[in-house]
Amino acid sequence: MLIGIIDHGRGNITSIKNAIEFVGADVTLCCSRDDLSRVDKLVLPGVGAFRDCMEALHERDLVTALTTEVLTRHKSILGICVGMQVMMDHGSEGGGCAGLGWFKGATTRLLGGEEFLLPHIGWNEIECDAALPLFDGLPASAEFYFLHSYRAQPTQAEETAATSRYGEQFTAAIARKNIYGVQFHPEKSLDLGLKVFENFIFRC
Amino acid sequence: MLKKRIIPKLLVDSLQTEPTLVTTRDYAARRVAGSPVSQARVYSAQGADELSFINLGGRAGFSRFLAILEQSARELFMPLAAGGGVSSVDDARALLVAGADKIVINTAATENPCIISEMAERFGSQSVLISVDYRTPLEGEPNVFVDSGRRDSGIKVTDWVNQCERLGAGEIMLNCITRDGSSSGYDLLWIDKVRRVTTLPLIVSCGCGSIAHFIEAFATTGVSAAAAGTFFAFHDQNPIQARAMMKNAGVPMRRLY
Repeated sequence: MLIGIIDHGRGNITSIKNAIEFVGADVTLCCSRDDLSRVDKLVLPGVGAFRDCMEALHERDLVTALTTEVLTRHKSILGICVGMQVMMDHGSEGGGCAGLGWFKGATTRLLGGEEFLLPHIGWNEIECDAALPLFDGLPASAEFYFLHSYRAQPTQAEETAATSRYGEQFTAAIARKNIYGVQFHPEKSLDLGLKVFENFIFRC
Repeated sequence: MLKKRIIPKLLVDSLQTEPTLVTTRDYAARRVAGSPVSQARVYSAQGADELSFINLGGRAGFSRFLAILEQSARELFMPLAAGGGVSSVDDARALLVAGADKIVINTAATENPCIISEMAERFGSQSVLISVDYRTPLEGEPNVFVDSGRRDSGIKVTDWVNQCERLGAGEIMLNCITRDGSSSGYDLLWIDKVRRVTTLPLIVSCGCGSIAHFIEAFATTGVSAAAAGTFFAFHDQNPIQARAMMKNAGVPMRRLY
């Protein structure tokens, strides 16, 4: 199994590569359109802010090719953190920016509050759709590592695959057919995170 | 519910050809505490929530420090903060590429605060962890110390924290140098004062000598995390025991599987 990690050229993908190799798949970095078609599955990591992530995809001319691979050729993809957020229509971070538009809805800032400082950093529980292969074998209320201030808000309720709570209930994962996105960092979530990668690679 | 975090600190003396793990007292008086990578493995297995790698070798040891970080990140799938001797956005990128998620920065940020916003724009605020080192003065408000605690920057701690927040920092680590390695407990007074002037998550560090000190910090201040170096390196307690006792005391902790 060859997993292509979309390389925005801005670093911070080492941990994801390490984790995927650890669970037993081969990894290649995808920097161009041709790279995308050569792999079995794709992982879209998040870098910086929503706008940076989209700019990086545009700079490398990956937006159309990625959409074709995912929506037309139905290649499985896992978005992580901002990589999940950009799957939405729109992101409000940094003055607003169009996303990949694979899911209806926007990425907006968490409400936060006096007890709910932002960024939301640390380990938090998720309630997930246990029937989804991505979450196969996870314990109830599994804890994952989060590091973010924004969250995706899909307008189609059935596309929310997991939720978490931080002053409000927010979407911790989205899914539709071959497209998966998680707000938390499986590459930083110890054994349960590795389980999510294993599920994505071998069951999704 | 978001859990409180305990963070073992790994101070790396990278000036040696074979970098060693050390602990310090008052940011000096080093004691050798083992090998950084093996110790990081142990902490991960013992249920640490996050690890903080600090390079004590400055520029000269930076590449050896990077190798240690890289080696750790290859097998530890957990949050890793790293810093010490970071003087540019390129240094920060090198740490991220090696596998860190958060960049710990102090001296370079006080000399050129713009680096905070540059890093926040490039890597996201969540990746920018400002390490605020200070000594408790006999009276009045403490100043930020830089250059591994050797130089008083003349900047007031609360002013600096405010400025960091405005510039886009994501988290603050408060290091009370006076208590470093003392095992006398955290500086609860100034944690509380800083808590009142910022909305950023705070990590308290320096002074932990017992599990009761963790509990006290979480029970009486609004900190999100507590870090400890000497405590984990030289006491019999490990993170598993610490988290069990903290959970019993009502501190929300991550479950271990």
